[in-house]
Amino acid sequence: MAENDLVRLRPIHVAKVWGTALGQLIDLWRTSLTALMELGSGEQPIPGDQSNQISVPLVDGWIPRLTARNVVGETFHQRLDGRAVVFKERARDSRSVTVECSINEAFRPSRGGTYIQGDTYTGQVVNERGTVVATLRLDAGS
Amino acid sequence: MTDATSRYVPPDEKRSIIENAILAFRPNVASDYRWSTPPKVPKAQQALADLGAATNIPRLVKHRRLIDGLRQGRPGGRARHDEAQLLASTLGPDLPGDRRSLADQAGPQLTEAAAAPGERRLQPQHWQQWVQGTDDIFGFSTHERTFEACNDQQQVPKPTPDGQVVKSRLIIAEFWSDLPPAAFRTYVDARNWPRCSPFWRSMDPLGPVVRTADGYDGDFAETVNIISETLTVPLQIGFRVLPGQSRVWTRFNISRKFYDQFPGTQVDVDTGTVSAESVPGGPAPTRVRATKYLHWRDSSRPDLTDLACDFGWADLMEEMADGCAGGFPAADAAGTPVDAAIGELVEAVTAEWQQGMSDSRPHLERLMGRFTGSSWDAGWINDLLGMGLVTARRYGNMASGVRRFADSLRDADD
Repeated sequence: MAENDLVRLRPIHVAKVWGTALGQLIDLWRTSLTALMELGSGEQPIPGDQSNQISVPLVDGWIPRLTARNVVGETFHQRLDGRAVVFKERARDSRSVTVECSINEAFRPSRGGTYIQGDTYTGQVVNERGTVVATLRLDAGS
Repeated sequence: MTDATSRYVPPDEKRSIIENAILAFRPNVASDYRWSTPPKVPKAQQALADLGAATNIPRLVKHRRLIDGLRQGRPGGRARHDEAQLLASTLGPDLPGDRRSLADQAGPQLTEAAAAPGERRLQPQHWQQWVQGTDDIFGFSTHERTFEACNDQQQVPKPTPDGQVVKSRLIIAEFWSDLPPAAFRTYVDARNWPRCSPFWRSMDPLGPVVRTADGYDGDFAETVNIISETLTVPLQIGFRVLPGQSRVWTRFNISRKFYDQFPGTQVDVDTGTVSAESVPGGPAPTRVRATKYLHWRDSSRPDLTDLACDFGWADLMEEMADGCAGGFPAADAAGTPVDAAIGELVEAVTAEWQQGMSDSRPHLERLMGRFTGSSWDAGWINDLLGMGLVTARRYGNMASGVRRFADSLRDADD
């Protein structure tokens, strides 16, 4: 670049060059910050109440047969038989059904103790084909 | 007019002031529960004056007790002077103008919140109405704006230690915070509740406290005081921190191992969770939530779990929201074992790092806006400086953490 070319450079051009470079640096920084923040956030949007409501599509007009699996306490890691989770229909329209699931507090586990240890239990809800249709997070036991 | 000198109040007096602020407006609490020593019902003016004068009672408690009290209605009309004085005591120290006149400006909103439809007890919608109407005066923080307590009207089945399933009262209190979950670790840890809320008398270990990879397990005798009653419950407690510190929680259940050794325990269901966790999509990054299920087993006397929300559970959450205004004595850190010191250092550095990212975000967003806007804006240098300032402050805090850690190592060596 000749000296005359330098003279033709206007502040706006310098700003654009620096702006682009800085912008890329900022993008890089922002991406890393976002990645770090996401790394640190185990997303648990379900509050862990006594019951959860899930909505599933009807199968040929019928409620799919739902079961729970991999039900484990978050704190004390007690595993519960999926049969401890009960499902009740709450509402339906032409295409889907809203089901409330909760843990039967009278359920007696066959292993890992004779009572349900008080905890927040997480698990999966699957349909008759074994497809996971929802995750559950339920308070149970005492 | 009733005056009281502003001062720090010790825990027992603090509890008494909060209780009096409830009793003054709900005299039936004194008569309906067959207390071993029936409490005197204080005059409302004195109760409000004492509440306003206590410098270590959080603003959240003061406002909530005031509105809740006014919603009960009381004979003889309202003492607006005392109300304004209480509100004036909660204004920020650097507010321009006459504090009293600012507090007076909140008067109409106070009347509206007190008269708003709904239950007589303060409900989330009443608090929302108050916060929205007076935010320009008080400049509420995120945790104050989002505070919700208590919903305790729901009854759900829970098993007692002998396997009977009984309808138990479910109490929920929660708020949202801009701080990361790790910032609440100290308060979520049940061992610290007596230092956080004056309603907690003690958490005495009943056996060894076993450290786990992510926290500890132990049985404790929890003792709480409500007015003249002392209630002790043996609890099994599990305290946990997820590896990324995105969730910190305590789970508590009645300890089946020790329940029979406490025949005087008046509840047979006492279970729940206190947690701080990252929840995307909320009004702030972190939700702090406390749930408690209670069932009163002593059918010979009135059910004190009716009062659990107002006398204790909400207070614990209000104190947590404010970082436990009573504070944690520095002397406690002197004897910190090395393991705990390492944990504290990691926690402090992580919390500072996460907080630093949150604090830098507005500067970064403004900076981006300047470069992507339609015209050149030289103010970007201020944004860079702002981010630098946040970074410097955070590194300063981290350096303090390292220094505390070094002190702990030195003390352990001595």
